[in-house]
Amino acid sequence: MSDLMRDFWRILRADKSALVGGIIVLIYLLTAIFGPVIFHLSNVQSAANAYLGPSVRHPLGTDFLGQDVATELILGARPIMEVGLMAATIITLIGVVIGLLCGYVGGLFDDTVMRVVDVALTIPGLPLIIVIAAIVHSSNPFVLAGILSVTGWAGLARAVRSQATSLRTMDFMAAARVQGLPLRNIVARQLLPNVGPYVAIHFLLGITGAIYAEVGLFLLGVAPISGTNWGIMINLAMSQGALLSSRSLIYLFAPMAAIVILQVAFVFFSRALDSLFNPRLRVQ
Amino acid sequence: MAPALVALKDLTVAFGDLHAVEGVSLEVGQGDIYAIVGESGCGKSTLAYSLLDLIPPPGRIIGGEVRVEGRSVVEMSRAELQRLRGPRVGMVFQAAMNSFNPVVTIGAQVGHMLEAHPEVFPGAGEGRAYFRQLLEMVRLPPDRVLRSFEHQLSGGMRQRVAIAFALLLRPSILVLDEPTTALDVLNQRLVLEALRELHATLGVTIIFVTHDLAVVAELAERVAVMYAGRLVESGTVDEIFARGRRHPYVAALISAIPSVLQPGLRVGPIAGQVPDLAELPPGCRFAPRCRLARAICREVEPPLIADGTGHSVACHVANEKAGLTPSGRAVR
Amino acid sequence: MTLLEVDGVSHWYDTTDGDRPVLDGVSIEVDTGGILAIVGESGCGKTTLGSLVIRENRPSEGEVRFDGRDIWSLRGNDFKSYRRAVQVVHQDPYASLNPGLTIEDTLGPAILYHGLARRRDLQTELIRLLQSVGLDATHRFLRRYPHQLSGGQRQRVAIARAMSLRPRLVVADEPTSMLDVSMRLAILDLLLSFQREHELAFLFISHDFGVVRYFTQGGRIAVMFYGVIVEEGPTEEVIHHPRHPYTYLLLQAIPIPDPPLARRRRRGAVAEAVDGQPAATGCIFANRCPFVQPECRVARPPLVEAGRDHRTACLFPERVPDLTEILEGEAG
Repeated sequence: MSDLMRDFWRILRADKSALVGGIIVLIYLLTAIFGPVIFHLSNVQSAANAYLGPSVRHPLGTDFLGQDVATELILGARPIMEVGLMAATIITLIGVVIGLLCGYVGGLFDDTVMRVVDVALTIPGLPLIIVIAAIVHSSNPFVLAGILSVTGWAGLARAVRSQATSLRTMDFMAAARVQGLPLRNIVARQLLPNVGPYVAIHFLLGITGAIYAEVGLFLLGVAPISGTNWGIMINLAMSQGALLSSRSLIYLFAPMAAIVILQVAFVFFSRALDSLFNPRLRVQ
Repeated sequence: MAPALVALKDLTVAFGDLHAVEGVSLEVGQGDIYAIVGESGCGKSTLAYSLLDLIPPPGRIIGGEVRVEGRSVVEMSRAELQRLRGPRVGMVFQAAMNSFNPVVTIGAQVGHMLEAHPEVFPGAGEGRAYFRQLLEMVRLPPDRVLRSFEHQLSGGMRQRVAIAFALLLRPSILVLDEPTTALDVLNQRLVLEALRELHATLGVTIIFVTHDLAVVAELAERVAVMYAGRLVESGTVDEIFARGRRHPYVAALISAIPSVLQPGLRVGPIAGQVPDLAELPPGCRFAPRCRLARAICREVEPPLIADGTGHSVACHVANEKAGLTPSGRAVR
Repeated sequence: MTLLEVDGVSHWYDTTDGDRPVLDGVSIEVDTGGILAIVGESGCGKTTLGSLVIRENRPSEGEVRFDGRDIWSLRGNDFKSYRRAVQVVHQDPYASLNPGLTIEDTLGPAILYHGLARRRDLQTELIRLLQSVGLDATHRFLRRYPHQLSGGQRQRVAIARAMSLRPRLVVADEPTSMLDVSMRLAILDLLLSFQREHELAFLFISHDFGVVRYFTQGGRIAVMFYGVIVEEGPTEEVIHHPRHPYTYLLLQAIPIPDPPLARRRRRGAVAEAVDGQPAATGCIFANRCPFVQPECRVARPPLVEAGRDHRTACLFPERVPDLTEILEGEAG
């Protein structure tokens, strides 16, 4: 394990953008976890304080209720990232398991399951998510994560499947079969490390995709507006007239900037993952 | 003595800090069939590529010179190199048989090549006729081959077609990198016979790189043996295989070939493995694996010393035994 | 005692063009501790035969039996025993190890799965295994990845993997053809040491007669041509007294690492290989045979005795010259 950490550190040092990306992601993570403990949104809502410009007390100004935008931003990180992470995890787990099994086992199993995958791929993802979210109308993070994953796993399954199919014919896989290793070992221990880099990067980018979709749900109002998160902030900003006043532009743009910076950080960070999961690149 | 067609003098090629080729000097005369032999990593392919300044980056020549027909290759301009490659020196790369355009017939590819070098033949017709002659020389049916796509020909046939392509522009030198390595024994024989035939008929000078000493015995007239970037022995093919003064690596390599010939032929493996170029042993690079190694071998790199007939060996022990000491003579 | 029986096996792949099978009526046997070499050019079906024996493919016709039982009928513990007893060593050291796994993760799981060591004893067992194949028997080596090893080292790991389950039969598919010449004998010696120590049977697949002769030393050899076994017998017998024209042509085409001998052979070449497709009717070799007769085109000749334990699928075995004749007597 310490080998892994050492190699990871070396990779990050070599690729500065990945390092910067990683640090930013880490900051966001820490903020999401510890932010709510440290900061609290004031309950004082006064129209008089609405849309104040940036000041020492309110570095990013106030919202339409007079609450501090910076605090909202910090508190709003966790719901967004939580759901994004869960959705990406669900998508990755389902996609990888199905992809590996279909690609490796082949035959009727593969044919049948791939037809389901084809259907999932053909259905337009975002509209479906919107419709389901509107019907279910829950802001429970698990439910949201589930909805966001409803078709996202299919693309990954297909890509992993084709990798598994080509890996199946390699000599070292034949050797594993000749040794009599059972299917679970072959899939988990022989195949998985070889699709590692691809899956890891897909996972990270899956988080970004889920976050976008999630923010979109809140923005459109199909997910209920309770509590605060970046998506809700944007929704309220637009509906409460932030567009009309130049002082409130920060309220509108702050959550957007927060999202974009996070996504970019993920993308930069993902550059290091290829090296991390590929022994040929990781170990000198 | 005719001037050498190809002359390498003290050539050193580096890939970063590693020297793939170190201080190699050799000369190839007009009409020679010259083999450069060694195992993987010895620098033989790099050597062959240097003749046309085709060393893949990050490799670069950092010392010595490469002269083809008296002119230094490194100093040539792009235009001069373009005139060198193809019309003066033809090259058949390793796995050349896999380098054909799969969606176009062989005949069409001949046309492309002739179009690219219009100065060689007055008209495309003459060019195609010459190609047909070449195909016949390598025992291939011209009509069938010209109409075919590459996947319709066997590996051995494709290799012979690749050789014909390399000779199409009438070069005086033909360089081949591992011409028979990927081929079966029957196809290998056909290719070797084809090369001999071409040499006899066209008088083309042949330089080929291989790791297979048996192929060298069958085809070459002169041989240079490389080990870990160094030239360790050069001479005629008979001198290399004779049991006289020899480099121990060459002797060991020959006896590491399990033969079909006679029972009880003394055959044995070579202990150890080829040194990592990043961690070369002091002194002679072969010393750690050499049964004859002495103290001096582990301290001083042996110089390449030629005897009266031009047979050169870089081994302290072998040269001492033959009473040869370094002199100012150039290596031939 | 018969360990492996391949009984009347024919095989077509889905992608084979129509009529000709990859294997056609092949029957072979290997006894406990015995060595059988399958020799032929690439495409002759020998690799497919190997894949059928290790149960990677199911024969379209015929049966493969191990210990008297059809390997495709085995279930449960019988199947698990078969998986222990039959192992493989592949040709390409760069493809036979999982690049995403350390050496220890490549070697360990099967040992644990078959109960050959307990988890707490695994490291010790792996160290012992590394030692038995001449590798660095250290924990550090176990944590390495394949890309950090040389071709020869990887092949040794592949052999360690095969031997780790104490098999009774090893299918070795060209185990040395992608290694440097100086490495080959060492690897063959390693395999032979296991063979002697554990009374291990081998199905040795190769295109190289020299390597086969060195390895089988008293075993048997079967020569394949386009999916058909054309000759079979004790190795020394078949090599020195071939009784099928194809065997003869293969032997004659092998390059000889001895220039004077090679020149002599070229001057006295008896017969040449003829280009041609395998025949659809009659003897499959008829279109390529320099000694072909009209009778050969009538029906496929069966394998018949042509000497002690020596069989050939040729109607006129007496016309096939001996190897000593090819070399014109004196062999140095």
